[in-house]
Amino acid sequence: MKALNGEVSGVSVPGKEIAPGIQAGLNVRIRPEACELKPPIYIGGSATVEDGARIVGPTWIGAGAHVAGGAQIFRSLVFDHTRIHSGATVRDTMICGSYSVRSDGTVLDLERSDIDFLVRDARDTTAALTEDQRQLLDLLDEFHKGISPDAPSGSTET
Amino acid sequence: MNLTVMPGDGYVVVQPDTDSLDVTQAVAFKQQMVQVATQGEKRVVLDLSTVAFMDSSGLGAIISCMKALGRDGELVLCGAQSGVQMLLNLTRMDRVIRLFPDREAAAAALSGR
Repeated sequence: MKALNGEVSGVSVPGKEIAPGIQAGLNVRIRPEACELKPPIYIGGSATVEDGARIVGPTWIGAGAHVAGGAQIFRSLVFDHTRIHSGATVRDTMICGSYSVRSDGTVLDLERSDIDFLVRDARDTTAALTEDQRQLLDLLDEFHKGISPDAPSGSTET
Repeated sequence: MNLTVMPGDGYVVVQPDTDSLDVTQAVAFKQQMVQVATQGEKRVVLDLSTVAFMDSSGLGAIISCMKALGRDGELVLCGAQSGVQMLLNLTRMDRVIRLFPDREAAAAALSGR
């Protein structure tokens, strides 16, 4: 993260600058104008960021990762080949495999919590939602449709 | 799994006597929460300070209680431990439900003080 902020002398962020403060590796699929991006952000090679994704830096998106439209990522480190679902918010967190590790050291086991459908391996094309997971997603969608993006906790992210 | 129900000033505080709101506890938890919500209580504080772990089933039960309370009711959470807070953050439930550090803060908010 310090490297992304330019705070480590002699270390430069790899890739090509596709927008001010947004570095991307080879074969990245993204339309910066269709996403909400706040630098500094690095996006690894062959990663995909769908239209409508929101990423606030400093954030590192690993190679081959997939950020769905509607997903929100704030100041986080997303390891290679991680898929972030449209209904997920990742904040001040390192996502590695099925573990989410917050900056204060708290660990959330996504698989044990049965929410690994929100964050999973992007290479696993066989993963299907269970009926319970589908119902939970529908319920979450129902609630989120009725609220403004930043209500009600007051923790507006900029 | 049992809920301890404590009446307050215009609200009710409920606290589960379990440290894990998972698939093994969710059905009983949901039944008792919905029962509280349908008994006329419109403002409910769910004290999660004893809950160290919650999975999608527990989350679904909380959502069911919110639905049972309806638009004129409110469910707020307090005392959520860090792992439970992460679950609420990741699923964006912190955007649809108010979280308070402890029971007193939640009660103060619901009492309008």
